[in-house]
Amino acid sequence: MIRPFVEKMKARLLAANVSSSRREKIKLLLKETRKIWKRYKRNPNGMVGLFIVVFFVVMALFAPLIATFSEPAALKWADVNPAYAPPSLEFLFGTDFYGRDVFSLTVFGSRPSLIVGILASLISMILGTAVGLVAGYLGKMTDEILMRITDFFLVLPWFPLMIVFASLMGPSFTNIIIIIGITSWPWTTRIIRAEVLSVKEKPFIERARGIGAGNTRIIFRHIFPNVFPLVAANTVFLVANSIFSESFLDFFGLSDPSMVSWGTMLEQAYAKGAFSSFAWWYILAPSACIILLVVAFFLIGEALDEVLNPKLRKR
Amino acid sequence: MPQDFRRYILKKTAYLTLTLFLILSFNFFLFRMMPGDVARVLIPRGADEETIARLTEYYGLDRPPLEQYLTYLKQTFTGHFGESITVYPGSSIEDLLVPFLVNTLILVGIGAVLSIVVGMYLGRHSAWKRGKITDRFYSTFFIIFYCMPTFLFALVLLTLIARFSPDWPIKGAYGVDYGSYDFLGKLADRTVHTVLPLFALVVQSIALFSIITRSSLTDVLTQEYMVTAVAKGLKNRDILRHHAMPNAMLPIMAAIAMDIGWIISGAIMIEVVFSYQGLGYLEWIAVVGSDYPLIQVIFMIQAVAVIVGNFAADLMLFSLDPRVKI
Amino acid sequence: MDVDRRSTSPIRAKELERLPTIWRVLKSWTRICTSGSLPMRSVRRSIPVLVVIFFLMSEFPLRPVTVIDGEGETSLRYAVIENVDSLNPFVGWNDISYVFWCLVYDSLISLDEDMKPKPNLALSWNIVPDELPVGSVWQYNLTHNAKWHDGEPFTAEDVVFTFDYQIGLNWSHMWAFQPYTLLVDYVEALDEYTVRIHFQDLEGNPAACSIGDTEYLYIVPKHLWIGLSSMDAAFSYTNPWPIGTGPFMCTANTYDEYLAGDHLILLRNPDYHGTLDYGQEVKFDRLILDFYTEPTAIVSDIERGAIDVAAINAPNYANFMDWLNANPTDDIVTYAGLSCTGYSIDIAVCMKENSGVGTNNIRLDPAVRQAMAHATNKQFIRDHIYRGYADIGSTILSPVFPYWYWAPSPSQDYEYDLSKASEILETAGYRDLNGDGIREATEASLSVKNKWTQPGTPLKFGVVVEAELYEDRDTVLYLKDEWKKIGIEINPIVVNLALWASIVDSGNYDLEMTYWSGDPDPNYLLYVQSSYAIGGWSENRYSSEEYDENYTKHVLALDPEERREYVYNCQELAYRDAAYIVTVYPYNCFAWREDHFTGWGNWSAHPGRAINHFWTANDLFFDLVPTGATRTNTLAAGLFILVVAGVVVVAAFLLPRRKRGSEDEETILRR
Repeated sequence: MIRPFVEKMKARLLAANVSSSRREKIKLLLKETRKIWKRYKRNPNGMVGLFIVVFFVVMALFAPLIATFSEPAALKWADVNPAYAPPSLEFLFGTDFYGRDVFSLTVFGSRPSLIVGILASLISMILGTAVGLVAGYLGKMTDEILMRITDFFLVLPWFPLMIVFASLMGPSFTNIIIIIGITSWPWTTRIIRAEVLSVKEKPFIERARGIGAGNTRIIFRHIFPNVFPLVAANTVFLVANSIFSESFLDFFGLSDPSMVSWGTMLEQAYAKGAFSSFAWWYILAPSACIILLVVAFFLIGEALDEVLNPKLRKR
Repeated sequence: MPQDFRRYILKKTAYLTLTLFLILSFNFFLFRMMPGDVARVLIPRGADEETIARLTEYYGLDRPPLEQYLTYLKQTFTGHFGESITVYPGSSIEDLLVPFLVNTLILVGIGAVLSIVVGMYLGRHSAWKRGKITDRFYSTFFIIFYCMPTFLFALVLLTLIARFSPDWPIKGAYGVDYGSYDFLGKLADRTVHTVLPLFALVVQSIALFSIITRSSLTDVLTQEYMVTAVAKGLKNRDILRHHAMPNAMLPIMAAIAMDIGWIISGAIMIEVVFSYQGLGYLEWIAVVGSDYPLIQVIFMIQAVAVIVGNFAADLMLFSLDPRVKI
Repeated sequence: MDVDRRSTSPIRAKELERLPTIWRVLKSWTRICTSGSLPMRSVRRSIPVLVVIFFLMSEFPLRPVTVIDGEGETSLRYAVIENVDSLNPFVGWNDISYVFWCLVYDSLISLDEDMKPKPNLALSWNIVPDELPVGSVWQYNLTHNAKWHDGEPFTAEDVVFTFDYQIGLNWSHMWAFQPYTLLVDYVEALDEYTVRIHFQDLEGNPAACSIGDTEYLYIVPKHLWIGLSSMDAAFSYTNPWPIGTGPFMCTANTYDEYLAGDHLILLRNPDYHGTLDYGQEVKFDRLILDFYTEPTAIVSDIERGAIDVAAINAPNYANFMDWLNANPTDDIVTYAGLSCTGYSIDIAVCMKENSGVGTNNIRLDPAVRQAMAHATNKQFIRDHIYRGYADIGSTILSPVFPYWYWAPSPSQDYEYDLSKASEILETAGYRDLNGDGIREATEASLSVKNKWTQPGTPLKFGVVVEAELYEDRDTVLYLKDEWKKIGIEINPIVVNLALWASIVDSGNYDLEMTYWSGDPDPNYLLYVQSSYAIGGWSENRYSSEEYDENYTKHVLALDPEERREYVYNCQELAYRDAAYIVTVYPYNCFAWREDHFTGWGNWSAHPGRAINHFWTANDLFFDLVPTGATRTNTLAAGLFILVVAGVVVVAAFLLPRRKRGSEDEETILRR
């Protein structure tokens, strides 16, 4: 079912009024993508991961339709539903301390996690790639300085840094995204830089320089596309890390408490004694979702690593 | 090659000092960017304007930033870290740090060693058996524990122990009667209190080290020269021990170095959940209480610990493979 | 993770077996038993394992060492959820700190289990009849038997010193006991054991004072505090070894314990004056305040008997009650009732006009506040957020003090009625002009007329709430939905405690969630709403001439009936002005173990027995008798673990190192 769609898109792109070299580039790109996808499909773990991620994305997108109760986080349910009711037909995952349906909460809770995961890792990736590209390509002094700065940020203990930032900036959703973004970029930088260093010596770069191409052009036109696959694989790990971090920050109360997310659900469970009264459904639902989603991204990342990195494939 | 080694050490030490200095400065600036008027945090309900002014003077919060910075540097190097302002009002920080530091060192020290040893062992085992059921089993296990939020496992562990054990302590680094025990009693008391947090802490690190060891070892085992080794008729154990592992150690050491920071960070969550009075726990209540002098000091200690750990790991890396680029 | 069959083929899977030591050793022993030969290496290797097994068998079953708190010492372990914030009574201010100071210090007069004044350091007291105006001078006859914990005798000098330390020029920064020292003119010692307090009115003239028998501030030893400037005492002195005259004493370790933050151990004071004066004797050796950060842990520990008495918050208490119903036992007794400290949860509205950027002066219009009060469903808050463990709130004085408590009549009461609230806002000139569901101030409204705000300003307010107080947070989230229905939008500002305190102190907020507790005498709680407390204890900067008038009159009235009238007026005025919207009076919930101590008494008939009574010399402590139940500890388990760990480590090192080319042990185990 995907295939005719892809064919149509390809045809449309190619038919568009683009210059022939561009068209060729697009064709190459599509071919590469298809090859990667074929290789990826053979990796069972990767497919499992992808399936789980797609499942959660669908859940997040269609949350209002999937959830059995609207406005699941409103406290008014306390008047209507029993508190801490075990799972039943009416409440698929039971209810929480205020009689709110845990299933609906879980479904809506997928949104913040995915949003934070994607946005925070985007920030991280952009920052990290930019620094890595510049440091790797320009070399010498710039490289030294940038790498010292990166090392410095690598060395700062990550969770303490996050809670300090969170307490300074105040608890809010956007702050969380920013905080996670700015505490995880150093990892990307190192990897990108190493790759750039190896690409830099390749002959086609020499040639480009020979014909007078400027630095910016070389970086964007030549180096970046070659480095991009690695960036992509790394970004997936970043997403896993971001979701992981977001659940911590939520649980420790450093995020917006009125937001429904898996982490805040766990925080509520903890505060309202779900752990001591063994309301296991209230604990299991968000925990399982967090673990599944992080594992899924981790698996995708590993699979992408294998697919894109020629060295690993021989294993 | 002592000459090379000496140069390496010198260069690394220089970097160490530079980074330390940067950390100190970063620390200082970070905590001056706080919201609102800091002096207000010091003054409980009931003081009038005049008293507030007098206290601002007393705590030195109204002097120009440069002067504050120099005072800060001087104090740090002489070991005077100032006074806590909200968590333990009036108590000097250097007095109060030591017991917390000791508790964390025990937890993190043993935790790091344990997770490295066990993690490497398990990773080696599963790399050797890759493709088999054991490997699959281990890998799934590791991935789940690696991706599980630290506090979750700790909480579940706490709840289960609380429910099913009649008297296992679930809070604190030592018990109430600690002071009255003899040395052996003290040791036993600490052991009983440290076991659970330790377990929760290392589970995730073990998973991580196993994964790294496994993948690094697998990389090495599939190299060409491994086939040569087998062809030479070396015993399997020899191959593993003397050929594969040393080559695999490099990335493992690099990963361990980078992970020391994680262990130190992760300890906070464990300490808070188990009310284990270590540095992370202190940092947590300091953050909740906006006790900036205290946060500053603890943060610096943690950063220094990570740098020193990295430095040690770098030295070991160099001794393993002198070809490593500085 | 692909299995790459090409590279594994020369190395057969079976030979890759690297079995764990124990497994291999067992196999080798099986071989020995079946083959008859004795390979020395395996024997050597298996010795550590045998040692471990030996230990395992000798320790089985695990016998916990029974210790009665160490050599016959009995302790009362009281678990609480917050830490003592300072050992210095002039610095700290949270409730548990007051409980702590009350164990160590005494006051002149204390409160008995029925919340009536009872003698403590003052054996008796009276108004001096010949000093005019009558009632302005109170005389206290002090006990001769009191000794400070360091052995020094207690005399009238200490009382004079304590008061002098906090009045006059020092009053403005010795903020902790201002409600008690506000009206004290000076204190004189007639002889070694008699003092007189001279009271004044707010202008400084001698005046009759009704609060002479409610001076609950702690008496501190002159010989230890006289060297400290009052500035230091009020803000930075750590008081590492608190010395008082109370029934419990601190130790040399108290400061370290305070810093460690895990527990505080107090010892019984054998020379307590109360024993000689009133026959009050503490019957156990130690009192341990155990600080927990997790309510789950408190509940678990009371269930297991690791602690003797615990204070539990409402949601966890509800769960605990469920557990208790499922596992009924006579050993655990629970109590939930209105707090003897008059605990109330309140929404404070900042009544000062220039409250800073981002705040909205529309809140100064009483109609708006009254509408807010009508839109607050206190019943819901009580039933669901506090799980029924609370009473519905009205004024800042709690109904636990029935003599002084004023209940609003049905016509005055802010009953939950959304349509009435909307109506109030409509008539007050706040209408939704642009159809976004939020009302705006029109020209007809008081806010515009008084120039508090521009016409067209929406009714949007920020509510500051402390992150750690989950019930408060939930209340604000609930009210957010509710008030939206009447056209008011509120925005929760969740902050940590320190920031909350600083925002409240600076007065730059619209609304904030807070709590109050106080004395049975209404002076304290009424004081904080008077203008005299602005710049000090007044949180909302409420100022009303009528209120102040009634407050002053109540303090200076000696006849309780007359006093009560003024107290009622104060409450009525405050209620009408709605500068505090009191949501609920939460219950204090406790659980204790009858199998460890007896003599707890009936806390609902005598609320002053509750363990969080913070006025010194709580009767409860003199009635508790240990039953002699033993407590187990887990030292044996700790030793066991250490031994096992040690053995494992030693065994790992004892494993013989493989030399290159040496005999492969695997050959023995070859399948």
